Amino acid sequence: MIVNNQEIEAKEDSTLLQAASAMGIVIPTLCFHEALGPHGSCRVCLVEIVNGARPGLVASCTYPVEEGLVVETNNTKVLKTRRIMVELLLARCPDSTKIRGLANDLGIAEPRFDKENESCILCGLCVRVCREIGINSVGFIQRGTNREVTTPFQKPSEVCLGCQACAFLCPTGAIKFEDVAEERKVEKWKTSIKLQRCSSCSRPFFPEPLQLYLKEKELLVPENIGLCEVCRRKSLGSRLASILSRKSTV
Amino acid sequence: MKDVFIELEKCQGCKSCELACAVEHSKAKTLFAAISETPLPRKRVFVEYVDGKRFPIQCRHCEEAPCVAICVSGALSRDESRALVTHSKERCIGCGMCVMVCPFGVITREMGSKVITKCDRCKDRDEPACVESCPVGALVFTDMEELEKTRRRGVIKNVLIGGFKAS
Repeated sequence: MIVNNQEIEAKEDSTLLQAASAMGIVIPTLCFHEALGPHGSCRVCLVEIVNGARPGLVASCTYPVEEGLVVETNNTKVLKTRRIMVELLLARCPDSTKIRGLANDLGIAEPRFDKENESCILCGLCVRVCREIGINSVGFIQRGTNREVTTPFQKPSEVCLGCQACAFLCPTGAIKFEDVAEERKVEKWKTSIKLQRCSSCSRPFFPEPLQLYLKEKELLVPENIGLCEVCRRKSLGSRLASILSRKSTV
Repeated sequence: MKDVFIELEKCQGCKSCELACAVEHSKAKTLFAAISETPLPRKRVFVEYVDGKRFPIQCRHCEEAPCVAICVSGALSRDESRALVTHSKERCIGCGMCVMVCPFGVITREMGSKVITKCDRCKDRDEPACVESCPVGALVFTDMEELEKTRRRGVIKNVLIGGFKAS
């Protein structure tokens, strides 16, 4: 297929976005993550399909590659629409540095729309990552302008592991985890999770539900349970040291 | 298949391997440029002091790796052809479960950073940086057969010099 007048080859099952980034063509996106699959909610990755069965603007993260497709990622029509998309997002979340940066790149200083004081752009990365881990502690509620991401019944989550994956993936920094003494707090999910202390150095490091989850999977080595990674290295060391001292006495 | 072996008796705890590892994983790959980079490049090998003994440890690239088993996103996978546990930054979702399950504690991540750091056995090099930098040969990059051969030779040498000494 042809992207920006450049002929490229792509793997059969990939999407336009994946094929383009594999060739080094940058298409901005906010809601795409390689491990979580296409979603198509932020609409920033818009590209124009010039020929084919459905010519027009499409989200490149959800559009599968086809033989002989002609795509433009940076023409005036694409840029104009993308600018409006980012401007709307900027009006929704004026404090997000990532969206601010994206807007700057597209030449938008301030949005023309009324500013809202939101931080979430409803990209669904947190919902999808939690589903991927198999916990499903958060989801979308309501529709239209009332749509938001929250825990079931907007109550503190009973199943959250405190793994922080949602916070790391959030493009706008709407989800923040804070470790205070022995608690890991998430304001957005109104949840606080107890942290277990390392049994050797007593540093609080391990969210209790996460430990139960890992125990169920039977992947923890018994002598390592309750040890932080630094103390795990040390305990390995003392085991090796005892082997060494035995050897030298032979 | 070549692997990084640790000669426990030889390590002096100089941490040259830690330094070389961090420099190798910096953008500039020279020490003086690396110390001014943000974020600072991080080491993947750790020299530990326990009971008066020192030893370096990095990812052992386990055959049945718990980190690969727990990784839901497929960011950690085992490359059988090179016998390595590899990590893809793009696929990583930052759940940090690999840090918790690693039996050796050699997968780390800094507070507030999403992606983990672990030994990739220096993809751009023939010999890993830690092995090359070790001044006493405590880290050896070789295969099992070669290692045994060196051990046998060492014993014979000791016998010839006079007296038997376990090496």
